[in-house]
Amino acid sequence: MVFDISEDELPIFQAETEDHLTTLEDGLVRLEQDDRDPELLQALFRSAHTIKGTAGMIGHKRLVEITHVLENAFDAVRKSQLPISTNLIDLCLDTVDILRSLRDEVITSEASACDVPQMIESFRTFLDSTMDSTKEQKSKIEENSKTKSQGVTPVEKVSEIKQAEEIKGKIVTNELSDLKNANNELHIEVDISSTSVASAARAFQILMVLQSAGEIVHLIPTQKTIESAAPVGHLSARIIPSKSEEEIKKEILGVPEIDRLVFKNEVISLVEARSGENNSKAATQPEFEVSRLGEYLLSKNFITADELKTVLEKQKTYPPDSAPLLGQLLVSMGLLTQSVVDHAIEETMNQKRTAILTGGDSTKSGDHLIDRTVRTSVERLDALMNLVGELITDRNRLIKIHSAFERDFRGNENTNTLSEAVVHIGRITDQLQEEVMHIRMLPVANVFKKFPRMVRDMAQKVGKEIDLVIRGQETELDRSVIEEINDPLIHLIRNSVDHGIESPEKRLEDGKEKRGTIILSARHDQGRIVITVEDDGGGINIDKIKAASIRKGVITQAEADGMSDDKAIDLIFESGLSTAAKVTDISGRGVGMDIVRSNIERLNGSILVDSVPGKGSQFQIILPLTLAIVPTLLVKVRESVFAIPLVTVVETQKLIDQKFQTVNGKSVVVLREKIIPLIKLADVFDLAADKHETNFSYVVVVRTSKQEVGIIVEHLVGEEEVVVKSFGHVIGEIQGVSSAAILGDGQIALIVDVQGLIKLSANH
Amino acid sequence: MAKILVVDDAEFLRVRISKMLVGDGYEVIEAENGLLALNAYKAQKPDVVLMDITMPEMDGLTALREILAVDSGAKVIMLTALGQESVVLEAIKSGAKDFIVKPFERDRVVGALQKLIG
Ligand SMILES: [Mg+2]
Repeated sequence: MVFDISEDELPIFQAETEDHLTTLEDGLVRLEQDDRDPELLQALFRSAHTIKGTAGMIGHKRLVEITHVLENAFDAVRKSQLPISTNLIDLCLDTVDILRSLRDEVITSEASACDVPQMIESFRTFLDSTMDSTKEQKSKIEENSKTKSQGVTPVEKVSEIKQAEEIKGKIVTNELSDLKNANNELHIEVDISSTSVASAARAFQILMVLQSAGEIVHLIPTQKTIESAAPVGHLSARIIPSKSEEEIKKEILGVPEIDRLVFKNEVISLVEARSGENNSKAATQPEFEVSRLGEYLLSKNFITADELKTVLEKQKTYPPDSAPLLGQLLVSMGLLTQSVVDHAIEETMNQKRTAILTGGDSTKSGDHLIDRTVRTSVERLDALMNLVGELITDRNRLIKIHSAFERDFRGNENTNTLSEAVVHIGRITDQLQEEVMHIRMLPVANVFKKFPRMVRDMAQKVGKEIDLVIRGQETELDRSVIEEINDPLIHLIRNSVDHGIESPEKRLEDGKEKRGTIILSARHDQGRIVITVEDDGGGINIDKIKAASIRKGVITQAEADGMSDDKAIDLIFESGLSTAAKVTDISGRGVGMDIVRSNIERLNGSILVDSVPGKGSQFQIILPLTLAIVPTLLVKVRESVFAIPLVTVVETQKLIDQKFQTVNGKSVVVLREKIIPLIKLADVFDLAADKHETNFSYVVVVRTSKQEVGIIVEHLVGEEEVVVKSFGHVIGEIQGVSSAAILGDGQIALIVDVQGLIKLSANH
Repeated sequence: MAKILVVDDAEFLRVRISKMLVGDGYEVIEAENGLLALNAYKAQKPDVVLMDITMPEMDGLTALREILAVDSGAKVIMLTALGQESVVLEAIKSGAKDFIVKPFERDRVVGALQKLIG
């Protein structure tokens, strides 16, 4: 597979086609949900059109052909000639799949297995059966879908030639009868190339040259015919010239795609190279300005359409260079007074200005609105982020040094200078971090975009009717997070389609809408991102969950009996638990909710579940905006520093002895009438007690899913944004710890993985 | 050095055309829709505009008219595709100097430019 595309163009091609393929998929799904929004149809059409254009440029013929079919189908829907049906959407989505395969051919240079002619054939057959009421249009679509290299169909072509021949005959007779006038008339015939896609436009260009060249006494086809945009193969004219013949010839030859020009008796064949320069100051401009004024006067009923026509016709009788303006003519012909014309001109100018101003949100500086983007690689961005990370570590360190100086040399002039410098560097570092983070941000739409199609296909497969509503897809987050949330989201959505939303029959039985709804939303919340997957399905059945958990040995019957619903619901995150009545084709892929949770917690995030039986379920994923830098609460236990991700922290409390209690042999603390199990970091990690007996005087309450746990620590060091250093393969995984960070004072802190910590403490 | 404003919503097309022209010593500026093109035109006064037709925000035909309203001497060449005959005619009637059909070769673009600016 060889395409006309260079290495550096490939990524642009890939990204751009991907955008359009997504627009197509997404739009088609929306279209099916009876969203007959003209803008949506326009966007669909445009995407197909753009892919076609790009495919043409790289010489991908099959891609051109099939996008053309799609483009025509959208056009037909737009013109209400083709009804929207599930069959149509299916067909279009299948076509989009083929487009994607054909697109991939360009990237991999390997031929795909898809059968393009077969697909086009199916599409045609479908159009045949659905568009028979509008026969004329159907045949037009078919013709168009053949994507010939010419814009003219054979049938039209033949009639065109016939017409031209008839005309030629007429000219001859006319010429014979008008022989006496022929002396000062200039006879011109032009053949426009049959390969011209818009021969009428070429004819019009010639017409403009003729209009500026003198008085047209004879023209075939007529201006009206030319303006109907019907193809023009041959143009014949006689004019009384007001310019030198040489000049006129030069101007005609300036129009592209002329095959042959008969100028007086001279026959000029141009099939190969065309010469001549275009120095014609096209006469269109005054006409354009005129039409604005004319339109305005018409719309305000200052003049009638007939009057305007008369005036315009009169204007055309003047040589274009010296033709009076429309306004002047209107006054001189007594149709309007000068003041009315002046006012109208002013109004049209204003209209134009408003149109320009309202076209965009700002026109203050044109430069601003020009596309000024730079492409850069992800690696560069990662490197930049790492450097910023280093800088943050150093900044934190400087702050430590500075406070040491403040302590030891307060009031010293150098200390004050240092203070200023530290504050300044701190501020700059913050700004730099913000900027870099900003560059790395991508809208979640990048992940969300494929879900409408996915939900549609999955729902169809299991015989359910589901609408996917997406909210906040413009919410931005770091690209590293975007990559990581993809799989968990797929799983959650799959779960909702499969186990959440009930069958249409069941829903009707329960007095619900036949169609279920899944809402996928994203929003920022206090420097974190919250992504929610919510369905209006049957909810999570607590009893089933408990039963399954007992069966799998996750909990005992006694534990189950004493377990609150809130806690029981969290059991769905336990490994190997599936409560679906049967394993379906879609969900039965072995990825459990336990994997979802561990994936999210690995990202220093958390997942919460909520469910109301019969009403639906909601999963909430809370993540930091970036994975590289985590806001944490630093705590100290003996000589070790731990960083607890702030996303998980609910509150901190100074401990007073009497609040300690023991329930079932486990220590708990009662805070505001809530019993919270306690974990002693020192014990969990077997930290050696130092010589002095220390006080574990603080409890940090953290939350994972719905469970709250208190972590007992010695000191609260403070909040710090730490730069994550993964252990890599050197140390491997340490349970209860997700990664490490280097602190401002050079110490290493371990970043706590709360979920892992709870598990670890349970085993102790 | 002639300055060419390339207007197309497809980045690939803009890049491809820029590559065709930059080697020939043209200065190329880009805009991805008609509205941006209009602003770019006012700000930078290019010698020739290569204008796509189907674009979001503001289509090529509207942009052509707006540009001509700002500068009646503007030289605009439309970039068109099959099936847009009537739009092209409209464009020519409105004052476009020429049109080029996609897919096009480098020679066609350069030829059209040379015809307009020598
Ligand atoms: Mg376009």
